[in-house]
Amino acid sequence: MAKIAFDQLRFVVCDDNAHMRRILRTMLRAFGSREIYEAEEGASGLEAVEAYQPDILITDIKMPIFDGIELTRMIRNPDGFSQAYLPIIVLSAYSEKSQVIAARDAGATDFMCKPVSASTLYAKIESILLNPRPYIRTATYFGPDRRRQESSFSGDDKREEDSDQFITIPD
Amino acid sequence: MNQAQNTQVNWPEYRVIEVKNTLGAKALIPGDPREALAAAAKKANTAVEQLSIEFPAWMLGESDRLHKIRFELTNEGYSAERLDQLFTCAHDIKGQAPTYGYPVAGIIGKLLADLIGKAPAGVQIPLPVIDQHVDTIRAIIRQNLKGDGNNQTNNIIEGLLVLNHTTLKKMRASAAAAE
Repeated sequence: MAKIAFDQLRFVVCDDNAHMRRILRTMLRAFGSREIYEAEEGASGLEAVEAYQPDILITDIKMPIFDGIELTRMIRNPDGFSQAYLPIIVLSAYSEKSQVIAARDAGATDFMCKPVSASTLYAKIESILLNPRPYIRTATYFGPDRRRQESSFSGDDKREEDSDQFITIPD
Repeated sequence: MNQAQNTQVNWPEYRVIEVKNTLGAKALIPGDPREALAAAAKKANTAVEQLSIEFPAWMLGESDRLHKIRFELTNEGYSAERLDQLFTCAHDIKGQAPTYGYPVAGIIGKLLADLIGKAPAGVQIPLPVIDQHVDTIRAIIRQNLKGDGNNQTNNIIEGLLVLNHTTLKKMRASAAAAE
C-alpha cells in the first residue's frame, strides 16, 4: 500500500503547444510536484533532459524540428546518453495503433492519448513507480521490455514446426 | 531515474537488464493508493477547472491560427509545407479541444487531419472542402458551442464524413489515372 510523494519527483514536459504544457503543469502541480520544466520541441526537450536530469519525461509526438518519437530514440542510447533509462510517457492526439507501436518501438515507457485526464496521468506515473519493467537491449532496440503481460495459450503450437527460426535460450 | 544494476543476463541475441527501482524508493510512501488517486485527480480537476476561464480565449487563438494558415494556402499558394501546417493545427485542435470543453470542434479537427493525412500525394485537396472544415470549427468556437453537441452538430459531422469519403475517393481516382 503506497502513494506517490510527488514533491520528490522532477518532470520535463515537452510539447510545442504552450496551452497543453500549462494544462500538464497545472495537473502535476495539483498532484504535489514542484519541479516541472518545459520544452517546446524535441531539441530543447533533449537539452532540458540533460540540464535538469528529470525523473520522468512527458513528451508530445507531433512537434517541429524533431518530434517526440525521435526524442525518445535519442534518449534511448545507453552508450551515449546518461539518461538512457529515463521513464518516458509519450502523449499524443495520435491514437492510431501505428503511432502507439512507433512510440513503443522507439523505447517509450508508456503512451497516453489526448485529451489528457488527471486520473489517467496519475495512473501512468504510478505504474512507472510501482512496476518498472526490465530493459531489453538488442541490435535494433533499447528500451523497456515491450511485453507487458504473459498470456497462456491453449491452441496448437504451430511455431514448433518452425522451431529452427527461434533462439534457444540456455538454462 | 532508475539505474541499471549489474545483474545483466547475457544471451546470444539480446540482453535483459534488470532495473533497480530507485524512483519507487525515492517517491513511494505509505498510504492508500486508491484514496491518493481520487484525492489527486479531484485536486487536479479543480485546478484545471479554475484554468478553464481561459479556454475560450485559447480556442479563439487556435481558430485564428487555423484561419491564417487556410488564408495562406488559398491566397499565397497551395504547398506541401502549408498543408503540413494545416494538418498540425487540425491535429492540435483534435487533441486539445475536448480538454477545453469543445469536443465537437475536436471531432472536426480530427476529420480535417484525417483528410489531409489520407490524401494521395500529388493531388490537391479541393479548397472548398478544406473551407467547410475550417469554417465549421471557427463557427463552433465563435458561438462558444461547448459540450457534446446536438442534432445539428451531429448532422454537420455526418455531412463532413460523407464529404471526406467522396473527396478521398475522387482524389484516389485522379491519382490512379495520373499514373
